[in-house]
Amino acid sequence: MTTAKKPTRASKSSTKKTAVKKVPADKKKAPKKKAPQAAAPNKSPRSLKQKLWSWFWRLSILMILALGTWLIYLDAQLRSQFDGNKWTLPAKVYARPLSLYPGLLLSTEQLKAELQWNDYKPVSNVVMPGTYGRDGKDWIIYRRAFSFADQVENAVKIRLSFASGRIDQLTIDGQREGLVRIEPQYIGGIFPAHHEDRELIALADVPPALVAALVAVEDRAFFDHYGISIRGILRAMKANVAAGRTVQGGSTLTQQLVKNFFLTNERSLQRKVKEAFMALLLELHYSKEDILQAYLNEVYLGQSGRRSIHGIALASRFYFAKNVQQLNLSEVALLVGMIKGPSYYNPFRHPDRARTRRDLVLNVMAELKIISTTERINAQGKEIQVAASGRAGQREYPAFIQLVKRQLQSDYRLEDLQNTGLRIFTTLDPWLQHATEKSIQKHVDQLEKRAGYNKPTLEAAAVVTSVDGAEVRAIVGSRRVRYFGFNRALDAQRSIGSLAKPAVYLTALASGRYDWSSIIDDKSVSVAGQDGSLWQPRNYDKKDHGKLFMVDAMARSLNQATARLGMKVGISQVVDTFARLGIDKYIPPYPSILLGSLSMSPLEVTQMFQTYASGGFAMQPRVIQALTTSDNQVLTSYALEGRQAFSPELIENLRYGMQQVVVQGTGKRLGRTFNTTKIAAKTGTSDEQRDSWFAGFDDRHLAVIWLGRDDNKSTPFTGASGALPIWQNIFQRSGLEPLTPLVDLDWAWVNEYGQLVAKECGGIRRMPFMRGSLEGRAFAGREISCAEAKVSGDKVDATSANNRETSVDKKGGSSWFDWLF
Amino acid sequence: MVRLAVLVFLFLQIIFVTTLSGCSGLPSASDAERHDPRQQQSTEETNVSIENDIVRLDEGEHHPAVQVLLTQAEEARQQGQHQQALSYLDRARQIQPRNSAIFYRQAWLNYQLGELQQVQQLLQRARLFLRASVANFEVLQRRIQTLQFKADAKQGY
Repeated sequence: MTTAKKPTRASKSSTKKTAVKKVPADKKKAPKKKAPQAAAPNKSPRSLKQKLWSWFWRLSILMILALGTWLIYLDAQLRSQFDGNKWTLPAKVYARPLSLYPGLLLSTEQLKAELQWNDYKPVSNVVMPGTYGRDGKDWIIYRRAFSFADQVENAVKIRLSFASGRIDQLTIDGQREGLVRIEPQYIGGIFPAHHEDRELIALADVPPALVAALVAVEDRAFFDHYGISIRGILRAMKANVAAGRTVQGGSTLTQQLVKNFFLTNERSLQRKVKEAFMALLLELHYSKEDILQAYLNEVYLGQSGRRSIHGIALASRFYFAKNVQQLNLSEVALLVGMIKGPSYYNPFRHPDRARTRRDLVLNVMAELKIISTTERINAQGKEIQVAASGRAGQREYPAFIQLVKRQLQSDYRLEDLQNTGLRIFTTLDPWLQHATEKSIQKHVDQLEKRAGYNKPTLEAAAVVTSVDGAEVRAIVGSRRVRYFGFNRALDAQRSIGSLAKPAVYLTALASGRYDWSSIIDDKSVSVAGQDGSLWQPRNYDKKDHGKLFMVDAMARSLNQATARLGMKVGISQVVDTFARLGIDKYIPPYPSILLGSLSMSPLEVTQMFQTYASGGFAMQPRVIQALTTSDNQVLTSYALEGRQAFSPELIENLRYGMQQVVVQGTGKRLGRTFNTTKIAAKTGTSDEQRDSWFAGFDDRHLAVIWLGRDDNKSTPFTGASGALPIWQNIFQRSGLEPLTPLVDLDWAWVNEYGQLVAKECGGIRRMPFMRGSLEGRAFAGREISCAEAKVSGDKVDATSANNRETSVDKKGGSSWFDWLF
Repeated sequence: MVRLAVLVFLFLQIIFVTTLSGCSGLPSASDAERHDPRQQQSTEETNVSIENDIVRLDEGEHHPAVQVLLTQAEEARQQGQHQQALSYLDRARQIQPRNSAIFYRQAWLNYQLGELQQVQQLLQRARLFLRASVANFEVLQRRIQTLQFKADAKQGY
């Protein structure tokens, strides 16, 4: 009803406003024009006086009318802004909730970290939501109430027992349960340009002591005045004159609210007058409670990086990691005291000033009998204790938030994301994100030292997803992980080098003409381009490796063998494979793409490898789980999508080759570290070592790492010496689960001619084959008899069959450079 | 002789320790491991009226966490809140990302909602993760096949 009225009111008053503006002009001109006219007929001075009087009256009436219209205009403006949604609320972004259930593999280290990042406090007796503690070996967690995307859940007391690293029993309020969630961590917002952040709170939820303290300190006559307080102004003037400077403001809470909410910070009489009128109007329309509530939500209380902290609800979370209701007296007084000057009294930077101010507020509170003397003494005896401003609960995840924003912007308008307080539930795993950030920071520093750079030169990016669902669990877009600038994980287009090779081998396997035991040649290769130039790729070690099993060319990332194979299976077929893997961009059918002379972002590489990791399903990496309005209506919930691009069997076969990278190739170091070779991976190094890549997955996660320089100059690092250690460190921190096969393949021994033979008839390697493919090739029992084994034809070179591996073993981990690439 | 005595003593101690740990440690450890979401598989019910179809999302035997979610999904479905039901099923999938029975249920509900493209890819995943080692696996296999026929027929294959 009121909303329907508003537009007419506003438009009426605005037309009047233009009329009003003209009035003063008329007023000035009128006497000048009329005066000579009046003089002309030569009338008596009395009639002139009368005329002037009548003009005066007319003008006064006009002015009163003008003032009236101006007030109506102000009133309309005020009411339209103050009714309904007063603030633009940034979208809130949440990580995935930590689900707890019997059988879950969960380190107590992770549990503790996730609780603390979520601002849970360790206590000896768990009686309040938002706290946790131990009871013997059991963990007690008092989960807060929370509106999850799918349901509102009350606060519950959780008891967990552990056995062999897993959750054994889970009870909720004494009852055995199968599943419970810890509310998700807040990981950032999507802010409008001014980066104003706030959390709304109802007056009823604010502790009475806080309201009393606020009124006592800022505006004692608040409940008695009508918006402006003459007594207050006089008192302030008296105090200021006595002190010889401005020590006290005469503004009421209402005026402060008007100033912050409707007006600018300009110091002029005009503004002051407007402020006073608006304060009166505000009091006319709204109750003291409404005004207080708006004040408590509007008030500015500090800055955190780009974010400005508004409202006491957000401020108490920001400074004390608590709900407003949980604040103690000392904290209440500090918060109220800070309103006067949030940066001057900032408790992080100026604890002494903050303390003095808090004590002053407590004195006032005691004076007015809001608190007893004992309470005052107790509260004043407390140290200023604030939660670290850089702690995880207030940390933002720039690279991840950027991807969230980008994925949502295809479905929603940016303004809606910035203004309407949407709640975005994402896939981020804070524990993995933490592991990824730490690994990158640690290794980039180490690698720089090793390379002898004396200033920051290297940059890095990483994407971690779940293998089966393509849920993005962690993203880092720069070594400066809190940096909101260029996001290399999404936007750096870098040459992928050997990361392209699995696509070449997949094309070969899919053609049905090749299997891993096929013998291919690593002779030097030379291809004439369309412009007459020659393409002559060399191996990393500048050597020819002769004839070898296809799997060894893949494992050791041989350029010449791969280029030859790619030419044989067909460049356009390889291009087609890229498209089927989910690469949605034009790839020119040049021979050089076989060796990765094409640029992709780490996220695009992730998408390509996701198809290998998921068993053949091409899926977009996904960050959003659900999106709700601020009052919890689900707008969209996103489900697992994707199409089967390759058969699981074919992918399983390819994965054998990718595991050989770890068994015997460029990723061998991982096998030693993790004590398993059940990891599928590929190193990538671009020309002149401008880019160092590593992409690999275990049974749960896929991680793609890029390392290089922003100026695209060469580095001393290959994929195995630069990016691999970062990958390794991430999985060391978060745990590695050996790969399990997707499907069973057929296995057989082959001799050095690539023939299927019994092991005792010269079988040198056991290799996988597509199911059923052996029947046509092999004789009875799948293996040819010893007598029938060939002794001529293409044969793997002895050096590549055996010696190669032993020579690598001798060198151990001291230098990878010789056998890399 | 002394060595022999030491050896015997050590041997006895080892036996003592192993039996002790066997008594106290094993039952709880097996409980935690029994519910390892990567090991514990779903079992379809067999004594139902319609062998080749499910009647409820929560029928059968499942991991305790998955059971909770399937029950919630079934409740939501009965109230006509299909999106809600799907989101419970997706949570179950994230707990057991390779449980064929969950993919089958996702496909089954999507089929009722007419999302045939989703049905196809979910059935592909259900087939990929179907393991013969699971009890009553033939029941699930038949159900997957039946749903596949129905989806294909609807799409005109």
